[in-house]
Amino acid sequence: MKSHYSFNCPDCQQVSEIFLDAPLILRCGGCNTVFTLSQNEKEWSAVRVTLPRLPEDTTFISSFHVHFTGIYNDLSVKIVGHAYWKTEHYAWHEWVFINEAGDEFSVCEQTGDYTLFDSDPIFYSKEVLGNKSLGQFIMLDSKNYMIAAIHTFERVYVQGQLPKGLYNDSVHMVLDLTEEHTGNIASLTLYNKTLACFERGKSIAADSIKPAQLKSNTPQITPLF
Amino acid sequence: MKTGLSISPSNVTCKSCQHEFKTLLGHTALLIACHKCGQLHANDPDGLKPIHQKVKRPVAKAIIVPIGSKGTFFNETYTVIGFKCKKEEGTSFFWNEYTLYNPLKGCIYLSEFNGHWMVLQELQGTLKDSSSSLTYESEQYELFASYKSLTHYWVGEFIYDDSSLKREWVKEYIAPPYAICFENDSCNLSFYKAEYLLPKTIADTFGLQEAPSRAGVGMIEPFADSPTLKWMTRLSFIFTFIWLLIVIVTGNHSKDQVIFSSAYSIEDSMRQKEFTTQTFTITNANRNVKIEIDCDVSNAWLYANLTLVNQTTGDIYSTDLEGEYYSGVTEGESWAEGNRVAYTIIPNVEKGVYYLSIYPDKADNKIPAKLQITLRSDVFILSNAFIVFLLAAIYPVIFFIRRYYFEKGRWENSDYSPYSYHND
Repeated sequence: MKSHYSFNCPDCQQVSEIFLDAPLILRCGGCNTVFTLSQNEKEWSAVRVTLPRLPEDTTFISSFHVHFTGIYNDLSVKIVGHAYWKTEHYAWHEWVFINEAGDEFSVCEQTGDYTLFDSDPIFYSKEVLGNKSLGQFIMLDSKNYMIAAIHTFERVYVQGQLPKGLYNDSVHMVLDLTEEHTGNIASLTLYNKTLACFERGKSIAADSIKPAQLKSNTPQITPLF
Repeated sequence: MKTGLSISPSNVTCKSCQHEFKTLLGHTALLIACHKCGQLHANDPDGLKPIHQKVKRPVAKAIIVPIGSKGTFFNETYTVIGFKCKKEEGTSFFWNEYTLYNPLKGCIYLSEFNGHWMVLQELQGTLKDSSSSLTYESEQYELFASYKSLTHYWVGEFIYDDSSLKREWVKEYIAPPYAICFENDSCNLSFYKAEYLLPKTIADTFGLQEAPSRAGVGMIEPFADSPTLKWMTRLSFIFTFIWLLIVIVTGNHSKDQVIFSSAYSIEDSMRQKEFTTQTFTITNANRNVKIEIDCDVSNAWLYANLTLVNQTTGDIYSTDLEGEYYSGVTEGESWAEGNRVAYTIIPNVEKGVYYLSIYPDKADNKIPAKLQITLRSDVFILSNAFIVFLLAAIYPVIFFIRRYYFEKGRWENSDYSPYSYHND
C-alpha cells in the first residue's frame, strides 16, 4: 500500500502520506490542524477547516485504530482515517480502510453493530424522501428499504484522512435504512443544498477484520467491582 | 484521541450532587446518570454536561443486578452498564430494564417485572406491525400490549442518549416463552426478540445469592414443568386415535354370540321357587357372558336370581336382576318410570356346558309376567372402553384446565385478553 503523495503541513512541516484520492480531508498528525486537500491537474491546494477536536484523553472502546494494518478478505488492509460522528441521540465510528489493491472501503460501528460500505454511493435529488417518515418503506436502487432511524448531525471528529464527499455541504438529516427481506443496512444522507447520497452496506462481524496489532480482537472492559 | 482494547474504569463527578462514581465505557457512553442522585449528563468529549430534566432519585434496592456485573448470554460475555426504571404512561405499572454491553456484539437488555425476567435482543431487518398478531420465523405472536413508556429514573451509562426523545410507543406480541417488541420513539424504530428467563438463571448468571421470587404469571412465562400445549394437544389426538382404533378392532373381533334364549311366564305360584333351564354350551374360552332379562310387566316388578352353573366343574356365577315398569296419569299428566330390561356381564367365563338356575320373585298381583332371558358370549363392552378413555383423559384434562387458568392469569394485565373476567 504505497501512498500516492505526501503532504507537508504548512503549519508544522509534518509530512503526511496521502492514501486517498483527492478531494480529501486530512488532520495533520503533528499539529492537529484539519485541511481539505484538492487537486486541480497536478496542482494540490490545501484549505484549513474548522472541525471540533477531541481532547487528547478521549477514550473509546474500539478494536480499530488509525494506522493499524491487518487482513480482510485475504488482502492486506490499512486504516487511514477515523471519523467519530455524534448526533443528538447516537454516535458512531467510521474507519476508512485501503487494501493492497488500492480499493477503499469504510466500516461503521454503532452500538456494537459493524457495517461495511464498499460500493460507490448513488446520488438522488434531495426530494427523494418525499413525505416518507419513520417506519415507512422507500424504494431505492430497485429495492425496498424501511426507514429505521432518522438522525441529525451535530458534529464530526476526524483523525487521519477521509474522503471529502459532500462535506462542504451541511447535512440536513441521515436516515438509517434496512432492506426488506435481507436486512441489509443502508444510509441515505440528505444534504441541505445539493443532493441525497445513498450508500449500501452489509453487516460484518468485527472480528472478520484482523488487525495485526491485536492479539485478540475482543475489546475488554475492566469490571468496576 | 485514544482508541484501545482495554478500558479501565475512570472516575467522574456528578455535576449535581458532586458524588464521585466510576464510568466503564469512557467516551463510548453518550449518557451517564449519577448512581446516587440520578442526574443525567451528556457525556460530551469536552466533559460531562448536566441535562436539565426532572428525574427521580434512584432506588438502590431496586437494582438487583449491580452496574458492572458480568454475565454470559448467547455465549458472549456482557457487562451491565445501565439501569432504567420504566413506567407505563397513565398506569402504576413499573418495571426495570438493564442495559448490557459487549464491545463487539453491542447491547442486549434484561427486563424485570414482578420477579419475571426476559432478555431482549435487537433484531436486524424489517418487521411489519400488525393489528392483532404477527408471524416471525414461522411462529405466530399475539398482540399483548400497546402503550407508551416513560423512564422514571436512570442509573449508569448508555451508548445512546434518549433523554430528550419523546415517549416511546411500545407494542408487544407474545408466543411464550418468546415475545416480539416494537419500540418507536421520535427518531428510531426498533424491534426486539425477548426470551423468558427464570430468576434462578439470573442469579446463577450473575452470581447472586438469589433473585426476588415471582408474583403472578409473567407476560411470556412458559407453562412450566409441563409439556407444551402443542405437545399435549398432539398427544391427546394421538391417544384418541389409538383408542378409537382399539375400540374398532376389539368391536370387530367380538363374536357377540347368542348362547341361550328362552321365555318364561312367571305366575304367582312360581314366586320364590327355583327352576333350571336346559343345558347349553359356551364355546368361547375365557370370554365374558352377558345375561339379560326382559320383563313384560306393567305397574309391577319382576326379580330373578340367576345362577350360571358349569355342569362339568360345578363352577357357578350368580347374579340378581330386576325389571320394573310403572306408569299412570297424575293431575292430567302421564308419567312412566322403571326399566323392563336389565343385564349384567360376567367376565372370563370358561367354555363348557352350562345351565341356568332361576329363582324368580314378582309382585303378588295375580297377573303372569313374561320373563325373557338371553345369554350372549364374547360381547363388546363399550363402557369399559369409555372407562379406559376417561382414566387416560384425566391428565390431559387437568393439564388443559390448569393451562386455561394459567393463560387467563397471564392475560389479566392485557387490554387484548381473549378471556372474560366479569365473574372473577
